[in-house]
Amino acid sequence: MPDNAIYYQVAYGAIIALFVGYAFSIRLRRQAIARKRRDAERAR
Amino acid sequence: MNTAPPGLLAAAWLIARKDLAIEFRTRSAFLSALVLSLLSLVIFYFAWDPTAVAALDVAPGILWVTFTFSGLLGLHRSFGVEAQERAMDALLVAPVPRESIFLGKAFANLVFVLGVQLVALPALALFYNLPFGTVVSSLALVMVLAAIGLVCVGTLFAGITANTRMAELLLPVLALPFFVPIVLPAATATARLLAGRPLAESMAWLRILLAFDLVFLYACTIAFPFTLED
Amino acid sequence: MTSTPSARARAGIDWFALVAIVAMGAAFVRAIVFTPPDRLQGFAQKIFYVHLPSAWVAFLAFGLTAIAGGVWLFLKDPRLDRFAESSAEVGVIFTTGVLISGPLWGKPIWGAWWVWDARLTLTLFLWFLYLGYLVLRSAVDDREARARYSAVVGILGALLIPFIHLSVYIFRTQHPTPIVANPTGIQMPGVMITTLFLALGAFTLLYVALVRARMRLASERDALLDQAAAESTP
Repeated sequence: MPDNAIYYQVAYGAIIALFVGYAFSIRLRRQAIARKRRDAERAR
Repeated sequence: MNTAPPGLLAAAWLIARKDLAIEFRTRSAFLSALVLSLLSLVIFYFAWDPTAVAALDVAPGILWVTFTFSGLLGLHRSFGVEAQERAMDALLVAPVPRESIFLGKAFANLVFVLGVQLVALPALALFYNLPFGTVVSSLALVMVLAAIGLVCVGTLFAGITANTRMAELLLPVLALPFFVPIVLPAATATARLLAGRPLAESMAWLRILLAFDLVFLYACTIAFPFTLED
Repeated sequence: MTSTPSARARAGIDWFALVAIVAMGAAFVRAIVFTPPDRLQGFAQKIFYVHLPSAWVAFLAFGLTAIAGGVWLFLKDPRLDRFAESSAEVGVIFTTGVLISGPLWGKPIWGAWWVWDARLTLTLFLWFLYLGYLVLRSAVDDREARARYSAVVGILGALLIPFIHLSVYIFRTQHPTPIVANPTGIQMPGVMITTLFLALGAFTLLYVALVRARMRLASERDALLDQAAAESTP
């Protein structure tokens, strides 16, 4: 059996980082919108 | 529909004639596409090591890269001319089916693309010393089949991107993935033909091109009215 | 009326997302700890448990984008457009996952990071195709026009996929790739199949959770734009 565990460890790590990063990007974008909304409400 | 004076194809022909007349009188886009084609043929020559790779092996790639990019230039122009003085609005209120606008524009683009190719192909044969004489009719068939698919998708996307910011950048980004099933079969078939293999050997590729043409001519004609405002 | 999306955002826990995260965790733990490595391919075979589900979700996402676009053309419901937008973006993320995990499997098994294998090539072009779709969306400001254009491009994209597949498949059969182990010929033992199906389910749940989150983002953005438009024209 070939010794190649490092490849799947890197792959799993990269996939998890991808999903977490994307979820975080959605969160950041929603916070930016919420901030804009608050600014607009305060301006009124 | 019965009250509209010209039928679907007659109206398409009128619009194609209008576009070709504009192009014939100004010749600006045609000349720039032609110069672009010839320039890229020349530039590719200097990026090529004739002692390492045979001309027959690089020529199909050069031909199809050139063909694709000069085609994009012409496609972008086809709706660019309608943006001036909102000429597109006049076309839309004209009593013609909207499918005709698409078919007419696509036909004018087909003439444009094939016209550029009519000059670029002999130039390629000249610069790279290729034996085109015996395969010219088979090659022309590949060319026409590829050009039909290219202008169908390209015309539709040119109509879409004409209304966006950075249209001239967006058109290649959007259209090039759609050109994969055109350029890949066409370039492979061209390589086979230039290598002296019979046309029958490239039949699988020609069938893909033909299927692509039929599906996307139909789909794009139907889809075009949906891209317009009501 | 305009405060409902933000009120839901403040409500806190998204239970569906929590279920998806737990399922993903279970799939990973099972794949890493409780599934034996392949006799021929070794531990690298475990990449399969994230590679195939990512590819499945990518196709699902792009298929649903096309369908949502097609239905939008007739119903003109903005929610359908927001779904198409979200599904395409999430699909691109999963396609990126396919493109990351594919070469990581290819290097130890095929001996090269990248081979122009038919499926890998198709995935690469899909990635370009839907990146183009997202770029188009970002280049149109008018919401109705954006929905119209992306519906048409989404449907044509779905039509294009079989053509790309056909051409790269015929192309590949003429250019044999350095295949050391052919994954299609291998019969998988039951324990591996169970892990694979668990991963498929978990990835699908994650897809739904991400699309829901992305749609909330889209509706909050649209609501904010509506509000701004309403204030500028009193």
